[in-house]
Amino acid sequence: MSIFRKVAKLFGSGKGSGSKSPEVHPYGTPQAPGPLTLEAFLQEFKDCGDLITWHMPATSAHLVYFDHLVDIPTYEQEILLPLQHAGQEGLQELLRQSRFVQTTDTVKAVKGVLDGKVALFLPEGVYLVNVYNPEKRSIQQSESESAITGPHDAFIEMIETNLSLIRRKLKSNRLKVIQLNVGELTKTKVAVLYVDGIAKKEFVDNMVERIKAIEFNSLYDGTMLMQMIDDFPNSLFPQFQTSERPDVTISKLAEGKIVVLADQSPSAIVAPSSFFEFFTTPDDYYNRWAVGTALRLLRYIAFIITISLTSLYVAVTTYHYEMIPENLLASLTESRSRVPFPPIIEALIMETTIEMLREAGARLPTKIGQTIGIVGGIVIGTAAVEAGFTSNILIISVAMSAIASFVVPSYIMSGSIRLVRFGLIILAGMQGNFGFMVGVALIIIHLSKLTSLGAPYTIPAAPVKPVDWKDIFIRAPFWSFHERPSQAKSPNKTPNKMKK
Amino acid sequence: MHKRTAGLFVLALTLLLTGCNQDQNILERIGYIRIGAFDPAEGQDIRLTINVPLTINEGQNTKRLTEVLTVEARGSKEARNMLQNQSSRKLVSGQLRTILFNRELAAQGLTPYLDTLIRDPSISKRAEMVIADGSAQEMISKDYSGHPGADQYIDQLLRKEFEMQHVPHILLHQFIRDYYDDGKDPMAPLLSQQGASLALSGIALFQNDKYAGKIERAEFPYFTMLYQNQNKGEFTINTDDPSLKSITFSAIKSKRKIKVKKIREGKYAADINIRIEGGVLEYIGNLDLTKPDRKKLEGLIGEYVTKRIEQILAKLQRYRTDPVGIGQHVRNSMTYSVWKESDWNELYANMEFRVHTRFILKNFGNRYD
Amino acid sequence: MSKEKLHRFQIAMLLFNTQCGVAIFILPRLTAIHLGTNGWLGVALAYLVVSLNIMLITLVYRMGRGASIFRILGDGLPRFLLVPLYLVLAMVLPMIGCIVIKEYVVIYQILMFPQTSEMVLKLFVDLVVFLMVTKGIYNMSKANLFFVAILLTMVPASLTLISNFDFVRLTPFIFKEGKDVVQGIFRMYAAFLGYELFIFLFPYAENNKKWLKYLHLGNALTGSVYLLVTVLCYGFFNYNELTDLAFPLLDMFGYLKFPFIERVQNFLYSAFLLSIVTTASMYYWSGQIVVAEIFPRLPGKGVVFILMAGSILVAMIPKTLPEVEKWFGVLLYFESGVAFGLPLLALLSLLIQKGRKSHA
Repeated sequence: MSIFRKVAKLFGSGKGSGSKSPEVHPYGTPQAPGPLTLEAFLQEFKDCGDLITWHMPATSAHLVYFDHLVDIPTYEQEILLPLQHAGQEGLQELLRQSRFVQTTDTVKAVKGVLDGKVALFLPEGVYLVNVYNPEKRSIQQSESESAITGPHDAFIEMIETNLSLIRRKLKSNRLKVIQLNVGELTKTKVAVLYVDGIAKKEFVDNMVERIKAIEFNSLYDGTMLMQMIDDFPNSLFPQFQTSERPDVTISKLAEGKIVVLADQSPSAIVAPSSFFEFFTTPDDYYNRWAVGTALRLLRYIAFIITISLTSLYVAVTTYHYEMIPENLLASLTESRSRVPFPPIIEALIMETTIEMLREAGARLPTKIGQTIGIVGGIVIGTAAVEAGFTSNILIISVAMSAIASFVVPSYIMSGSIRLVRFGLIILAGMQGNFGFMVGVALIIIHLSKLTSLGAPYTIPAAPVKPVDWKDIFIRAPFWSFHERPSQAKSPNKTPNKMKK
Repeated sequence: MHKRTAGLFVLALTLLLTGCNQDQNILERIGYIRIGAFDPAEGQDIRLTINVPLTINEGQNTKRLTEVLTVEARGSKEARNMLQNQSSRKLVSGQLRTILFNRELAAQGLTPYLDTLIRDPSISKRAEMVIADGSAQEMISKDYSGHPGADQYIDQLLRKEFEMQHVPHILLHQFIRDYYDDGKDPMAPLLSQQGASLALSGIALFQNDKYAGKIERAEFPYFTMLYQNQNKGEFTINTDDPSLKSITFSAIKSKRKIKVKKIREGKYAADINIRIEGGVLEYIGNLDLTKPDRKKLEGLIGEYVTKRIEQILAKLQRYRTDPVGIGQHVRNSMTYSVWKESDWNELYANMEFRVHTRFILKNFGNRYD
Repeated sequence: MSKEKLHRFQIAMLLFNTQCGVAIFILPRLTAIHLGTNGWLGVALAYLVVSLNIMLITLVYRMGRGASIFRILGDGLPRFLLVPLYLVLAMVLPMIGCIVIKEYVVIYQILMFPQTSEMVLKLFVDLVVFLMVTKGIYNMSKANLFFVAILLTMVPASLTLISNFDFVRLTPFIFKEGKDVVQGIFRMYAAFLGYELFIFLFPYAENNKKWLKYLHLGNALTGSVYLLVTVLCYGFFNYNELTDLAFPLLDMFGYLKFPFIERVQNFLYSAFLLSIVTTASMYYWSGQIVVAEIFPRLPGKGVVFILMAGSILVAMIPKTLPEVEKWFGVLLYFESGVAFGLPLLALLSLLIQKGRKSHA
């Protein structure tokens, strides 16, 4: 059983997982559709109070649509007025326009209206006209992936706009978009994007297959979609990178990777991704390369600090007192001496508190969020130490690892790392350095097992691809980028010569 | 797949249940011994005194105290176990910084006490090995004004001396290393009480593991130059010669080379070449430090240093101790069988030393004369 | 099994980390006791022997045209001869893996956790090893790359000790005072063991012959690390002291001091877990594929589990370090027999096949 089947099974909506031919699944509606008549059609939309039905006796036409999904001026200009003024010949002329799509399928018609099309019922037949343009958020900066330099636009919750943002920056007819639908109820549009000739076809097929295999009631966000299609759903680590930024997305497309967009979600999924990609930001590329390199190294150092600092504190103060250098010993003992708990409990309490602070800050409006910061800073930072609740060295270590965890650009990865840290702290509390190293070994073994869309997750460190190191561990100058990264297994390795 | 996950959970649970390790040494619940002082006691026993810093809380105040405990026992670990009864903390040796041996004890031989220092993996080889001129117990029990405790005082005093290269950097590791070496004898700093404070009064010399004599404070710069290449330091020469009444150098750089020659059977000679560079900090004398006089001055100083070093070597020969490691060079110039057959102590006593010192005045400081 | 082939660099690193074991900590003492003064030269001698042995293995690969060792043996030799051999291998290889862990854990107990039962510590390592082995050789080699990267940071750390290094202490005497030079060379050689498992790796390696050279690269890395360590110890301690110290390397690292941390040997020895995990995993993995050759139907994970459970039970018997070392010594004798015997047997089998072909 392939992995995506397993995934689908895991997320399966209770139905048997046996029959999953893609033709049956995505558009299936519960009622058996009869022939497409106005009455049958309206029956499908029974009790949908927001449905508009417009009858034009002159042409005996019926217009059915949701007025909050369509663009009213376009609707009036393109459909209503021509219909009112057209005679019998004019009507035939009008219906030949490519905008008017004839259909005889009730299911399609229903879906069309739900997608913001206007259903035009004429004696000659039923036509669907696309005038979809609902209210939407304007294009703004990304909250979770802000960059200081570079383009500031970010995806919004509308797939059409997002596709437009990508098409604007990647003007090539080789950029292909495969449209799919996910979700029994939500029928969310999902688009699989790739650049023909650069992306490896097997990856695209695999991805499409996985998305088609999803059996889930509803889909609300790209990050949710990501968890339904990844290789190891039980792993702590995200196996696909997500981004809200069009510039990141097209850079990945240009590397030969696949991008998946979900409607109603600003997060694009990049596949395949490697562990180290989660530590890169677009700012690395917009800065001078030396600065970009320094930033990248800083992030790896931050990663190591996040993972290890508190657990080493626990290991050293619980078991390996001899490792503490002399000048640190006195102050460490002094601050520890008033703490009533063993270091492991102390560390867990503090780490949990910091996590609670972070979580509270994330949920609250900005103004109250600041209050939380101040309260947390004073209460935890000062009062807890003065009351002999924790040692101040632990506060420093916890705060440092919290700060370091926010240096990791990907929010999802940062959460995974923070969770892993708790495991390490517990292991260090159990067996000191030994337990810590056991934890490190477990993490490494786990990471080495992971794959992303079947491609190794820890590439280019393992398997070794030294060619790729210059864009993963450092950010080498652009002239040194001669090849696309090997994880994408692009059939067209050289970026600057697009072969026909 | 789910079965396996369940299996893993069971395994993880058992690991959790095995629970915390038995060897917890939670920082504030242990008493880490900072100094261990060995004094002779009656019979075969020793008197072990330890210095344990404690942090005590009374309400909001944290006080730092030092616990000094003494007991008489056969070995140091037995003594530690006996002291355990007196202490409020679990005594551990992992932060042992200074080991003080009484001079009389050292004169009887240190071998029995070195065992645990080598054997116990928790004892740092960076601990300072010090010989106490007088009672070691007294030395670490006393309060020294201006210092929070004897432990920090001794530690910082020694570290400063090592850093300024007044004495060779001798820690437990170097002591043990030279103790094992058949071509070199160990040595250790010698600490003595001077009024209300302590002073590094000499370097204790050993013949194998027995205290044999000491290098005086006045001989330190010359001994250090003989012992190692120096890249730091200061020293002063005072003579009766009107052209060299007093001169002080800073920024010393010295390099020494030892070459061993065989003169005849059973008689070896060592050529010790020492090259010293230094800048003048103070000069009282009747020479101008201009060119011709400078050469003269350099010669005078060289002769003086040579004389002092020869005196030291003669003293070392008299004590039959070889802390400089001449023996290593002699050994390396021989074949294995010859070295094993010969009696190094005898050879050493008869050895001839030719010291050649070359002094170079690097600069004259701020005054150009 | 993963379809992906092992990259040659991964093989080299895997070889290095498999060879590197607890032996590195006692190597300076072993050389000093058995070989005597300047015993570090023995490392070079052992290295040469091992290189010859690796050449033998590569010869099998070349002559067998990359076929798996089991196929080579099975085609030339009767199965009733091979099955007992496989059975013995299936018992001994996991035992070695187990004893490697045991020795590591017992030393850990001596150094840091004297009160903790070594079996508790071992259980932790066993868990890691089990997870590692069940991931298959390809993922093992990937994880190993990170392990090696972490372990090799010890090399620059050890270079800071050079200021305490003195050539005078090396002495010009060669192999004087040694107890038993032959035994010494053997112990040196045994410290290199682990490469013999790579004869099982033929079907998993990349298809060209380039990777054979990388076996030598891995071996050279081991050799140079061993050499560095022993030479440093000979110049840092002196000869007599070396014969008396149980774990000279740890004592040497104990002398290291950084502004924020002291006594780094605690941490470095803990980090060495990563090397032990690879070594043990490779032995268990080899045991697993040997079992798979006898009973091809058994599930891989079950086999690993049974092998581990069995070896753990046996490993409960020795308690003290000398006992463990004695067991280890016996197993190493056997293993060195395998190291030379298996390739020779394979060559014999190939010759028999050739003979048959020319007759037919």
